[in-house]
Amino acid sequence: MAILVNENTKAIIQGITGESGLRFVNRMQEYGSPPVAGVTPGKGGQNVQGVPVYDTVVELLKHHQADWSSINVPPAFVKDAVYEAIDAGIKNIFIYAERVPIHDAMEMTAFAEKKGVTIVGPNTPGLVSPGKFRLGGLGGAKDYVKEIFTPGPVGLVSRSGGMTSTIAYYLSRSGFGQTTGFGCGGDAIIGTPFKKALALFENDPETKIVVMFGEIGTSYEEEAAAFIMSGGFTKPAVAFIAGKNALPGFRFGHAGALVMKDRGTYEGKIKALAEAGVRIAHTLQDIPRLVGETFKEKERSYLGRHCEPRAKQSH
Amino acid sequence: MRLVEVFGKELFKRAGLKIPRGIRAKTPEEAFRAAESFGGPMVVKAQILAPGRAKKGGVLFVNTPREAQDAAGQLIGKKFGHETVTEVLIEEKLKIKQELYAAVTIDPDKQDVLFILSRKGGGNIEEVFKTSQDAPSQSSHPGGLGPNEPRGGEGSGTTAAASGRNSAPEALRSGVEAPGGRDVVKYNHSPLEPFHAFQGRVLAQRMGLKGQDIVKVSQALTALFKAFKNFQGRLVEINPLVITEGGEVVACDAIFQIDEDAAFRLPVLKELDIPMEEERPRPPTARELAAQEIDKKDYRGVVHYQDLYDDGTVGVVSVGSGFSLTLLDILSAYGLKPVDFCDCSGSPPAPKVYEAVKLVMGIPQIKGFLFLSGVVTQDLTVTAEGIVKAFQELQPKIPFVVRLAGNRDREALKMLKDGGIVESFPRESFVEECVERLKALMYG
Repeated sequence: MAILVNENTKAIIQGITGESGLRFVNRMQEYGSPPVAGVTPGKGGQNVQGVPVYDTVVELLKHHQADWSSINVPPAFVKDAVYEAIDAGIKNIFIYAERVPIHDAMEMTAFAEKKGVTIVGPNTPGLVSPGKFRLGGLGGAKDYVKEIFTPGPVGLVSRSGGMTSTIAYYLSRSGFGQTTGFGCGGDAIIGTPFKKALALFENDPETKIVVMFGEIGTSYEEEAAAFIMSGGFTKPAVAFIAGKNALPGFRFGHAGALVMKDRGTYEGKIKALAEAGVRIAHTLQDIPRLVGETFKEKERSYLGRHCEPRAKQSH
Repeated sequence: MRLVEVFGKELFKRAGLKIPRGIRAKTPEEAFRAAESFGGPMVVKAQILAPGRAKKGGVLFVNTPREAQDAAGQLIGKKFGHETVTEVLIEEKLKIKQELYAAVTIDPDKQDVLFILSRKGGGNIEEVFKTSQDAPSQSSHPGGLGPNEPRGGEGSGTTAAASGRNSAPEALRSGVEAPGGRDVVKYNHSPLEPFHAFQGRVLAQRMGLKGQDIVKVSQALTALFKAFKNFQGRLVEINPLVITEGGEVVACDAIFQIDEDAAFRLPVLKELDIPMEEERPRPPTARELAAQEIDKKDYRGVVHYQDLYDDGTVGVVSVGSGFSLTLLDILSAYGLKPVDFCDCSGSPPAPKVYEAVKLVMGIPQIKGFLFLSGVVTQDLTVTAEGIVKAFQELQPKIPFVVRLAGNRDREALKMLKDGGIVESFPRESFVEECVERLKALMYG
């Protein structure tokens, strides 16, 4: 098993003839998880490296089955493409672009939620369920991605695309492969923040532990901590939060500042996660070390008490 | 991107809000002429972005054109932080019955639209927020008109008032729950729904307003929402939103923060010649300006440079924003202070990398240099080419540590070693090892 994408995933690409669309086709084909088809309005009937192109998603779905669409259009057109996919009945949507207008992001996520559609992103390079499916170019060229993302028991979710690969590599090198690793997106409003990711990993029996890479700002980490405290996620977790030493910027105005006051800080996130039993990594080296320690403890508690080692971590 | 008051007010006006009669002036003489057309008490306001302008002496009250000229003379050219006043706004002074506060912003927690309102607007709004039990800072989930349920499937999506036709009576019921009204009222609104006038009336009533004030304030809130939506605000804020003795509701100030990512759909920015400057807590430094020039020379890749600590000892170039942020924390964990933050990513060509390295190596106080990447997808032989060229040209006397991991990193490593960079680390290295090594080289 894995979350979000697996060996049965059928993905299409909207904006397939653009620069990032073409790159996605390459990366996905070389991983052995090619897109089944793509859409570029006005270019229906063409093909991209053997992948057929249609003018609309509705037309595409007359000829192919698909449960994911990767949106590879420029930021100004993302909302339109997402609505098109949702309207056509696609259930999972991946948004690559960064600099999507925040009102669009807010409307898309609300609309997707209303329609029971999952959005990952905006502003993320991809999803990998090692050995099963890669959506996007996460992990880079094929010789590298197989060393970076390896199959195993760790669920990995990161606000930063680059750090997804960096952490996956260090985990893999230490012998801890992943069920699924993905960038959830670096923007203020994203479709699948940590809480949703944890809920998905909770229901995936092969995921035994989750690693989160968070950043200062927003309160997705605090929300995840509250979710763990409420019993929504019961597996062990390790988190690294970046931005402890970032210089604060301007204060924009009362409302924004007040809403954010005492929220989104490094200290606040660390405190909330630690209280929820999440182990805090202070360096990158800490991440595989803490994962390793957690597995050892689980093993000991399993051997010692002959019970399922799924008690929440505390320290 | 924050707009100065005059532009914020222009956008408010276009959305249908009432604003005081006002004239812009760039010289004391212009201020005099403007003031002559008013007659009666006036306000002269420095057009700057810094918050708390009134308390810092940026807002002056005058009675005659001569006084207006003097006030403008005082303000124009004056420095507030790093901002210099180049323009003032002269406005008629209103006869105030009550000062309110109104803001519409994006609630990042609930991913929807948040109204924050207060019947105690004006200079002490921060105190009001602090002492009010409804203060946004004290509530992890600001209350809406109705019950706030976690977002789930269809139907429980957003707040009750916005999510379905059955919810309006519920909203009205909870609207009268606080007799006499509340000092601070918050309301979460679905981004998919229009804002109805009745919702404005309920909110006004919840603040404890009565009679025609309810109607007028509702009109103002509807217009404020329209301004937020039409002009892609991240935050629109009016403090004070004045109810005049004559019963008009007028926006006496404007904080308007626009989403710069939506600038492409806002022709009004060009039409009004609104400057598109990046907001910073201070003016850019010479090195930051130099980095901007480097960045502009080639559209491929980014060089995003920021000066951090003058008393730092390490010069840093790194690849990727998340990784760069992480590296700062790792350096700090090892007791090293970086002078700068320099993200050089997105597949920059070799000359861009070369110039970024030279820029950072040119910082006089650094005792050591780091060029590190996480696992990246850009072609690292191109990156290595730029690094090696800078290294060979500079022949640095300080420790120079490089780690590159990702696409073509084996070839890149060979290029670095062949280029004479002894302290080059392979993919397998931990970032911490490189930092430790630099520290050892710097301090023995």
